[in-house]
Amino acid sequence: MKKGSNVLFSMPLMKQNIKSNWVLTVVIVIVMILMSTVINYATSIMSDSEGTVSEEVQEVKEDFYSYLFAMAAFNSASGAQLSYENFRDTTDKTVYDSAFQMVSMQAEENFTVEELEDIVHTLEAEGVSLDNCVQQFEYIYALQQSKGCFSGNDLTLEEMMQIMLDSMGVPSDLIESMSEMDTGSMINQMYYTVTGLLPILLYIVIVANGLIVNQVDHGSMAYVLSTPTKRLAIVITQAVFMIITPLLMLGIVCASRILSNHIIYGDAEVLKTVMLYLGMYILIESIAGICYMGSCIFNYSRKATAFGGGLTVWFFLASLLGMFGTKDLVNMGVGVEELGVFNQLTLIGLYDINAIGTIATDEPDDSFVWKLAVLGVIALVTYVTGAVRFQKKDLPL
Amino acid sequence: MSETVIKAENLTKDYGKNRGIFQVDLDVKRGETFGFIGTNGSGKTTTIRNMMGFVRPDNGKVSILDKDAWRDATEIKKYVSYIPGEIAFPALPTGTAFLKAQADMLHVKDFTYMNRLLKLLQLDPTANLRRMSKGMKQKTAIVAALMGDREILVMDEPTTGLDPLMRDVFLDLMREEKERGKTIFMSSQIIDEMEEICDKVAVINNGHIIGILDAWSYRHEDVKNFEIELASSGEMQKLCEQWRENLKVNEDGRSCTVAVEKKNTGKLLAVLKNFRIVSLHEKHKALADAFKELYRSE
Repeated sequence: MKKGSNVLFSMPLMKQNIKSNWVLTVVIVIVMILMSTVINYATSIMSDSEGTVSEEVQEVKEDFYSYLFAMAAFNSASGAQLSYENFRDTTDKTVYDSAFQMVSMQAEENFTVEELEDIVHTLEAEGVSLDNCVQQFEYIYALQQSKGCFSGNDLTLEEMMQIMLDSMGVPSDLIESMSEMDTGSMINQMYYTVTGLLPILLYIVIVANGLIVNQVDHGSMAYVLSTPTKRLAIVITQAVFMIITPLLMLGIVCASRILSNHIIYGDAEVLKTVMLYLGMYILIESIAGICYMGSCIFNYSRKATAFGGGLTVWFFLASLLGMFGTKDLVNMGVGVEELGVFNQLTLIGLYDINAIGTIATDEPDDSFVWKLAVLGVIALVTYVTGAVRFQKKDLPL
Repeated sequence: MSETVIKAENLTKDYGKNRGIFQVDLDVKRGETFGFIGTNGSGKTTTIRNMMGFVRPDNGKVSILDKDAWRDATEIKKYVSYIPGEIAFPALPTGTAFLKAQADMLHVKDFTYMNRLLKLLQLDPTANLRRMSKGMKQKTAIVAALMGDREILVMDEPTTGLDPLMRDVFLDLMREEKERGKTIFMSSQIIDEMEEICDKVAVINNGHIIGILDAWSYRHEDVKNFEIELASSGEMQKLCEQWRENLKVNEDGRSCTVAVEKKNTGKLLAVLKNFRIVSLHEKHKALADAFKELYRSE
C-alpha cells in the first residue's frame, strides 16, 4: 500500500467492515444453507410420493397385465377359475403351469409361472398395489368385451373416467394439467425467486445502509474522513465489500446445494446449479447497486432505507405475487394467470430460472442471457452513480 | 508576523432561512491557540465542516497550509487532527478495536504517544464502545484524534462531557501541545476555558463573525481588579484613608473595588493585613465581559 494517503482502497476500512458485519453474514449464510437443503430434501420426498413410476416399472406392469389377460382368456375358454389371488395363495402351481403352456402355444408367447412370480416380486418391491392392478384390469377387460349400446363404438376406460369426472363437476382439463404438473419445478420457482432470496435481500439492505449512509447520518464517517483517506477510496472499498460478500455467500450456498443434490439424488447437477446461483448473484448485485446508490445519495439513514429497502420490498412482493401467475401454480389451481403481470414489474422477473434450467438439456433456452445482462448493467450504473455522487456532496459530519 | 496556517476568506455556506455562515474571515497563525465561540446554532460546526472539506462552500474558501480545504481535503488530513463535535463511533466492539482501526487509517505505528494520552486521560479503552459513558466516549474521541500527533488540531467542542478535573487535564495537555509548536483551533461554548488557553477568540453569531478578541492580553492584563468586602462600613472608611488610588466604594458602604497595577498588588495586600476581611477576590471576567458586550451590540 502506498504510504500517506489511501487513494483507491482502504484496507483498514475493509477490516472495519468485516468486523462489524461478519456475524450477520454468517447467520444469513447458515439460514440460506438450511433453507436450500431442507427444500431440496422436501422436493425429493415429494417427487417420490407422487408415484411417478419409471418406464421400467411401467413395462413390468404391462407384462403383469399380459398374464392377467392370459388367465382370463384361459378361464373363458375352459371355464376354469384362475385368478391372481388364487395364484398368490396356492402353493401348488401345476394348474397354472399347464394353463400358461396352453395359452403360450396359442398366442405364440412364452408364459411361465416363474416369470409371473418374478413380475410379482418386482412390482411388490416397487410398492405397486397389485390388487389395484387387478381391479383396473377387470374394468378394462369387461369394457373390451362390449360396445356402446347406441354408438356401437368401442368403450374405453379413459373415456369413462372423463365422463364421470365431468358429471362430478371436475373440469377434465384440470385433471389433464394436474398430471402435467411438476411439483419440483414449482418448488424451485418458489425457492429461487421468493423464499431463497429473502435472507440475502435482507442482508444487502442492512449492509448497504450500514456501509455508508448510517455512518454519515450518525457521524462516525468523520473518523474515516479525518484521516488521509480519499472519498473515492471509501466508495470503492464499500462497493468492493458489497460486490464480494454476496458472491462469497452465494458461492457457499451453491456449494452446499451441489453437495445436497449429490447426497439426495446422486446427481450433483453442477452446471445447472452453478448457473442458477450465478444468475441469483447478478440479480442480487443489481438490487444491491440500487441500495448502495441510495446509501450514497442520501444523508439520512431513514430516507436511504425508504428508497433501497422500499424498492427491495416491492421487488420481493411483486415476485411473490408474480409466482401465483406462473404456469405451475395456475395448473395447480391456486394461481391466476393475470398475476403474471407482476413478474414484469420486478427486477426478480429478469431472473429467468426456467430458461436457466434448460442449460444442461439438449435444447438450451438462452433468453436468460440478455435478461441477466440487463441486471448487470443496472448494477454497474447504480454503483457508479452512487460512487460519483458521494464524492461531490456535502456531508453533515 | 508568522505564517498563516488556517485561512478562511469570505467563507459562505447558505442553508437558507438565514441559517449557515456568511462572509467568514479567519486567520490562524502557526503556533497560535485559536478559540471559536458562539451560541448553539451560530455556525461553529458549519465553519469547521468547511475546514475539514466535508462540505463545499457556496462562496469564498478555506485553505489550510495554502491548500484548498475542499479540493485537497485528503492531502490536508496528513497535517490535521480532528475531534468531531458529535461523538458517534463505528460499529466496533471495544474502544481498543476502534483505536486500533483509527491508528491503521492514520498510519500510526508508534503507540507511545497514544499510551501517554490514555494514561493522562485515565481512559480504559477495553470497554464496550457503545456502553461507554459520555465522558469516556469524549476521551476516546480525543485519543483517537490526537494520537496522529499532527501539527494542526481542529476540535469541535472537545471538552463537552468531561468532568472539571478532566477538563483541567485536557487544558494542560493543550498548553503542552502549544509548547510543542502545534496550531490549535477549538470551538467551545465555555468562555472560561477559552480565556485560560487561547491566544485569540473569534466570536460568531448567526453565521457572522462579530469580533475577534485578543484573549492573551486579557489574561496578561497589567491592571488587576479586586473586590473587597470588609466587616463594617467604619473599617471601609479607614481603608479609604489608607489607600486612595482607584478605589470605589459600593453603595452598601462595606465593599469596594480597587484597580491596582500588577506590581503594586503586594502593597495593597500589606495594607489589607490590618483589616477584617469578609471576602477578597480578583475580578477576572474581562473576556466574558467583552463577549457579552459584543453580543449586546449586535
